[in-house]
Amino acid sequence: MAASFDYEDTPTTYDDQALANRNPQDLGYDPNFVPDSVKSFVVHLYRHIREKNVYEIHQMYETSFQTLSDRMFKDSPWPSVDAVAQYVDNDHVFCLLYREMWFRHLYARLSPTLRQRIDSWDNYCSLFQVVLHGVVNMQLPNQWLWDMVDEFVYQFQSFCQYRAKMKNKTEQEIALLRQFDQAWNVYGVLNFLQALVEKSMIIHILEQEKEGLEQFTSTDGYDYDGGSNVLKVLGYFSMVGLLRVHCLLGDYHTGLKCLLPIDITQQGVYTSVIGSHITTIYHYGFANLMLRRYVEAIREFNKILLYIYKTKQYHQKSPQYEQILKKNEQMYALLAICLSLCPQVKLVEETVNSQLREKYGEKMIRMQRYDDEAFALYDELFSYACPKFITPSAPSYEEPLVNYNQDAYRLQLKLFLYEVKQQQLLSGVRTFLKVYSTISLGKLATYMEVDEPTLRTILMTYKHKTHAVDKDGKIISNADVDFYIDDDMVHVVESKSTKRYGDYFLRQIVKLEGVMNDMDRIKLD
Amino acid sequence: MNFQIWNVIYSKLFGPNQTEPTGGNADQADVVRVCTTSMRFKRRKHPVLFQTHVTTWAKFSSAQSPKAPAGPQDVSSPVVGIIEALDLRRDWIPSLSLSLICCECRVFGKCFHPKSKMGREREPQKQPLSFTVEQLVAVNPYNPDILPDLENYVNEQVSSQTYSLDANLCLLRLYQFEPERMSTQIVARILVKALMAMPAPDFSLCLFLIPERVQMEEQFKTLIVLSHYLETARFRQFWDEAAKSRHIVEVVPGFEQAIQAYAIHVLSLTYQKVPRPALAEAINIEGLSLDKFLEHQVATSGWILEKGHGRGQLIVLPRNEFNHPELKKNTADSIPLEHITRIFPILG
Repeated sequence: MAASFDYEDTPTTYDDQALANRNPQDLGYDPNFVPDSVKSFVVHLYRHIREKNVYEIHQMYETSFQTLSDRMFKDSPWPSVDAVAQYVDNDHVFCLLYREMWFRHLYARLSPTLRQRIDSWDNYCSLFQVVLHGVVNMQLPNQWLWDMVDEFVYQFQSFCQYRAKMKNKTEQEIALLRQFDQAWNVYGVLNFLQALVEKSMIIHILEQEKEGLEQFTSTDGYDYDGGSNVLKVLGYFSMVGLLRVHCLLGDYHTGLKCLLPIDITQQGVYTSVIGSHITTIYHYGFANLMLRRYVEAIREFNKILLYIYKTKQYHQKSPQYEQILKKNEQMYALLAICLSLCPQVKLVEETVNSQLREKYGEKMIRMQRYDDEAFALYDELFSYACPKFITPSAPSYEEPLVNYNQDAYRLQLKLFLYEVKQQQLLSGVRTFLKVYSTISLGKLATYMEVDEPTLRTILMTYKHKTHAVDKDGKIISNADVDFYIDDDMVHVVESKSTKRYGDYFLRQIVKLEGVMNDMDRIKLD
Repeated sequence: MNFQIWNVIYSKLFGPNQTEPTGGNADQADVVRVCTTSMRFKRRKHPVLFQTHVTTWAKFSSAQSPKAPAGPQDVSSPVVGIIEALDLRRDWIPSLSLSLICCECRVFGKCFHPKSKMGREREPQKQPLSFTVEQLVAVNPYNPDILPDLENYVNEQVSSQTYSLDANLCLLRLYQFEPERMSTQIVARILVKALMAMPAPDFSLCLFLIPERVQMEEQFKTLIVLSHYLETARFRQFWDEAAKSRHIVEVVPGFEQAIQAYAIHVLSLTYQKVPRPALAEAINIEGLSLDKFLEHQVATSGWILEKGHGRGQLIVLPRNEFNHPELKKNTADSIPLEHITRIFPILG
C-alpha cells in the first residue's frame, strides 16, 4: 500500500459531517456501528491487498461484498469509513478504496444526495491522484479496476442528469451546486481519464507488445514481477471510459479514436471482464451506427450477442447479471436498426438471427415500410437502446429554472431520424433491384411512381448511403444489392452470399478429431 | 515549515530580484500567513474555503505585483508559479506539493502539474511558433485554454484551403462545454468546411455537437438544407439554394470545386456511362464551360467521351470496383493463417 504517502496530519473526517452527527434514530441505522462480519471483511481484505493476493481479493470483492450487502445493507449504506479505519491501520489508500465501494453500493441501492455526489467526486479525485503519482504498489483484480472506471463515468453521467433537472431544485441544492461547481466538471472527468491513459504509458505498452517487447495481454494486465498493475490497467480501461464519455456527448468520431489503441478484432484485456467487453462493443457499435458504418456495427454486435448467448449462464450469480441482460436487449434493438437500414442478414449468425426475429421480427418488417408507423418504431428502438446522452455544461441559475436533461437525447434522436428519413426511399429501390438483373430507368421510374430525374437522384442516394468512409478515408461498400448504370440501363449485381466453407471445414476437422480421440479412449473388454 | 520555500514562492509572486513588493504593503510574513492558511483549509478538507482563499490570494497578489497581468482569467498563473516552485522541492516536501497540485486540478478543472502533458499549455504562450495547432490538439484535447488558437485555426483553414476535422471537433467540444464562449460565425465556417468534406459524414458529426437552439438560427438552417440536398443527391436543388446563400458559402474559398468533386464521386459510384445532361446538372457547369471541363478531365482523369444513341453525349467514367463490380477482390475464399494453425496438431 502507500507507505510513502504522507498521511494528513490532522485527523480527517471522511464522511459528511452532518450525516455523522445526526441521530442514528433519524437515519434508521447507525453509520458508525461496525458489525463483526464487516470488521472481519475489512481486516481480511486489507491483509489480502497488502499481501497482493489477487485471487482472494477478487473473491472478497466479487462474492463477500455482495453477500454482506444483500444480507445486512439491503437498504442502508455500509458503515462509514471513519468507523472502519481503525481496523485497517488508518491506511489512507485502503480508506479511499473502501469509500469508493461505499459510494458504489450507495448509488446502486439508494439514491445519493447532492452532498454525497460531491463527496464521491472528491474521493475519486484523491484516489486517482494517488494512483497518478505512482505511490501505489498494489495488485488489484481487473474486475475491480474496470468497475472503478465504469462507476466513475456512470456517476458523472448520473450527476449531469441530476443537475439538468433544475425545475425541482431546492434553494439549498442550488447553493451547493454553485459552490461546488467543479464537482463532476466535464474537464475534470475527461482530464482524469486522459491523465490515466498518458501516465500509464498504456498506448506505448500496447505498441511494444505487438513487437513482442512487452507483455500485457498475455498476463491479462497483471504484473508477476512484483510491480503494480493498478495504473497500467486503469489507463487501459480509461480508453474505454473515454469512448463512453464521448458517446454520451455525441462525439462519436473522437470516441472511436480514443479506442484505436485497442484492437477489438482480437481478444484483449477488455474481454477479460464481461462488463468491459460489453461496454466496449456496445459503444463501438453505436458510434459506428451513427457514422453510417452499418456493416462494422452489425459484425461486432453479432459477435458479442453470440458470446453473451453462449456464456450468459455463467454470469447468473454475478452482480452484473441484470446489467448484462439489459445491454443484451439494447444491442438486439440496435442490431434491428442496423439491419433495417442495411439488410445484410448474412453477416448475422443463425442463433443471433433467430433471437432477433423472435424479439424484433415483426417490428423489422414494419420498419421497412417507411411510413409514419415505421418512423415511430425507429424512434422507439433508438430511444430504448441509445446511451444516456448528457449536456455537459453548467445550468443557467436564472429564473425561471428549466429542465434540460432531455436536450442532448432529443438532439441525437432528431438527427438520427433525419438520417432515416433521407434513406426512406431506398428500401423501395432495393425491392425492385432484387427481382431484376437489368431494367431501364424509364421502367423502374414507372414502377416506383416517380419521374426519371428523381429516380436518378434516388439511385445516387442509394449509392452514397451504402458507401461509407472508413477511418482511413477509404470508401467501403455496405450494399447488399449493388448495381451500376450504363447510359439509361440499370444493371443489378447481387452480391452472392459467399459462404465461408473454409471455416466450416476447419471446425468439422477439429470436431472429428475430438470424436476419434474419445472413441480411442473407450476400452472394449 | 521551511522558510526557504516561501522565499521561492515569494520571488515567483513578486518577481525574481525583489526582496520587497513594489506596490502595496504585503510583506513576506503576509505571504507566509496566506499560504499556510490555505494549506490548512486544504488539509482540513474544506475545498470551498480553500478555493476562495487561493482565488482571493491570487487576485490579491496579481494586484500587488505590477508585472503580473490583471484580469480574472489570470488567477491561475501565480498559483501555477507556486506549484512550480514547490515542485522544485518535491523531493523534500512531496506531500505538500502533491496536495496543492491535487487541489489545483479540482479548482480549475484541469491538471496543472508542470510535468504532466497538460501543463504544457503554457509553453505555446511563451514560444508561439514551437507548436502547431494539430500538436496542441493532440496533447491538450480537453484544455479550454486552446480555444482561441482553435478559432484562429478555423480561419486559417478557410484562407489556406486546408482542413482538420479533429481540430474542429475539438473546438466544437469546447463550445459544448462552455456555450457562452461560442462564436456562431466560427461554427458556420466549420459547417461549410464539413460540407466540403463530403462524402465523409463530417457535417453530421459536427451537428451532433451543436445545441439545437443554435441550429435554429437562419444560417444554420440553410446549411442543414444544403447538406440534406447533398446527402440525397439532389444537385439541382442544391445549386439553386447555394446561389441564394452566397453570403454564407462564398466566404470559404474552394467551396464550389469541393462540391463538384463530391458530385463526381457519387456519379462514378453509380454510372459507367453518364449522359451529359445528368453530369451538367450535378456539377452545375453547362455549355462551353462544360466542354472545357470535359476536355480537362479527358486529359487528366481518364474520362472518355462517347456518342450516345443519337441523343447527345455520353461520358464514360473511370472504372472502379463500385461501377464495375467484377473488379472487387474476393476475399471470402481465403482463410487467415491463424485459423489454419488450429488444426496443425491434428495434421502433424
